[in-house]
Amino acid sequence: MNESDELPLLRRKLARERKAREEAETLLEAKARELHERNRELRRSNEELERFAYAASHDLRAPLRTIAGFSDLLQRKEAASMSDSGREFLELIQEAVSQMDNLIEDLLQFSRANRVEVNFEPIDLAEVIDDASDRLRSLIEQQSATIEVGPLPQVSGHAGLLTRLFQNLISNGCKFARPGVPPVVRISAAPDGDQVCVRVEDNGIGIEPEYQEQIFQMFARLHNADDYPGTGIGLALCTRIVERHSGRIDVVSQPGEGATFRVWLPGPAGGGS
Amino acid sequence: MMGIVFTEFFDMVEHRHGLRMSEQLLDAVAPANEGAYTAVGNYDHQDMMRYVAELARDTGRSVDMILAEFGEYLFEVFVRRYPGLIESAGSAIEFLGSVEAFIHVEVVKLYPDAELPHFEYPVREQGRLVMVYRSSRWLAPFALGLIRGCIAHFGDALEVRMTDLSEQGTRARFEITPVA
Ligand code: HEM
Repeated sequence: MNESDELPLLRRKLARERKAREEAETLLEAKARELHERNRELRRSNEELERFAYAASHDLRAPLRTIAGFSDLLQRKEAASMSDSGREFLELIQEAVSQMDNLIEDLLQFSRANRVEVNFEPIDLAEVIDDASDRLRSLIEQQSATIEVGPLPQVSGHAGLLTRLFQNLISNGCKFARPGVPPVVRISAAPDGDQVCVRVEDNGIGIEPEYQEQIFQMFARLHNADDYPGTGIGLALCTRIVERHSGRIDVVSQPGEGATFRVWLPGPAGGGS
Repeated sequence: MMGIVFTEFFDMVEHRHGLRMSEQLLDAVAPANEGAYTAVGNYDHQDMMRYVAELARDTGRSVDMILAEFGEYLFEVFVRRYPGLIESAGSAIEFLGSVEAFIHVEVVKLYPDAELPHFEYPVREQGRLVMVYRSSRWLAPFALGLIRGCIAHFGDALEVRMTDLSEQGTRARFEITPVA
C-alpha cells in the first residue's frame, strides 16, 4: 500500500477515534453526574439514619426514667415487705436499667460526635485530661487507680469531644485491670510532624494481637459483661472523635502487660478539613 | 457487549491484517455508530459476530478460529490493562479457577453492563482443572482462546481441550491438564 492509499484510511480512522473520544467524554460526564447524585442520596440517608438513631435513643430515655423511678420507689417503700427473691428480682431490674442507661448515653454521645461542628480551636490538653479525670473520680476511687500526667502540649480541636475521648481511654485503662494489680494510667504526649501523638498507657490485662483492630468497631466486646462492664461503643466513639479531628488512633499491647493507646491529633497550628 | 471487546478487536485486526482490513469490515457491517467504539461503551453483540464472520470470510478461516485467536490476543491485553487482577494468581490453573468467583466479579464492578458467562468447576485438582462454560450466547471458542492466552502468559506446561456440549444448550467443557 502506498502513502496516498494510506492517507484516506488514516483520516477515516482519526475521525472515528475523535468521535469515540467524544462519546467516552459524554459517558464520563454522565457517570460523574450519577456519582454526584448517588453521593447526595447516600449523605441524605446517612443523615436520616443519624437522626433516627438520635431520636430513638432520646425517646427511649423517658420510659427508662419511669422504670428507674418506680423501681427506686419500690426499693425504698416496699422492699421491707418483699420476699428475698422479690428483692433480688428488683436488684436485677435496677442493674439492667443502669446498663441500658449507659448504652443510651453512649449512643447519644456517638451521635453527638457525628453532629457537632469541629472548629479546631486551640485546646490545652492538660485541662482536657483534668476534666476527663474529674468525671471519672468515682471509678478511679473505686478501682484505687492512679492517673499520672506528664507535661502536655496544646492541640487543636473540639474541647467537649476531646474530653469524652480521653474520658473513655482513661476509663478503659482503669477498668481493664489485672486482678490484684491497682491500675496506673500514664498520659504523655510528643509532637509528631504537625500533629501531636498522645499516649494513654495502662498496666492492665492487655489485648491479644488478633483483637487489636476489632476493638475499635462498634459493639465489639472481648469480655463477659460481668467481668468487665461496658457497652461496646466506647472505642468506636473514640475512633469517630479522632476521625472528626482528621487524626488516627491505634493500640500497642502485649497480653498481660498493659496497653498503650496512641492518638494523633492536629497540633496547635493545625486544623483539619 | 462491552466496548473494550470492540476496540481491542479492531486493534488486533489492524496489527495482523492492516488498516485496510478494519475499513473493509466496517464497510461490510456498517454499524450504527460508524465504528466509533470506546472501551467503556456498550454495543450490539451481533455486530461483533458480524465482524468475526466477515474477517473469517476475508481470511479464509473459520469463525471459531477467529474467536479463539481473538481470545488469546485479548488475554495479553487484559494482562497489560489489569495487571492487579492477573498478578493475584500464581499459576494459570489458579487464575482460571478464580474467573467465576473473582475475576468476572471484579469486571462487573468496572462494567456493570457486562454480560458474562458462567463457569462451573466440576474438577479442581492439583495440576488439573475442568471448567464448564454456560452462556446466553455461543462464545466458547473465545473462552478457549482466553484459556490458551492465560496458559501462555503463566508459561505453565498445560494443554486445554474443549468439548462442545451444545446439545445441552450453549455449554462447553474445558479440560486443562499437564502436557502429555
Ligand atoms: C483479567 C481477566 C479477564 C477480564 C478483565 C475479563 C473481562 C471480560 C469482559 C469485559 C467481557 C465482556 C462482557 C460483555 O461483553 O458484556 C468478558 C466476557 C467473557 N469472558 Fe472474561 N475476562 C477475563 C478473563 C476471562 C477468562 C480467563 C475467561 C475464560 C476462561 C473468560 C471468559 C469470558 C467469555 C467466554 C466471555 C464472553 C461472554 C459470554 O460468553 O457470554 N474471561 N470478560
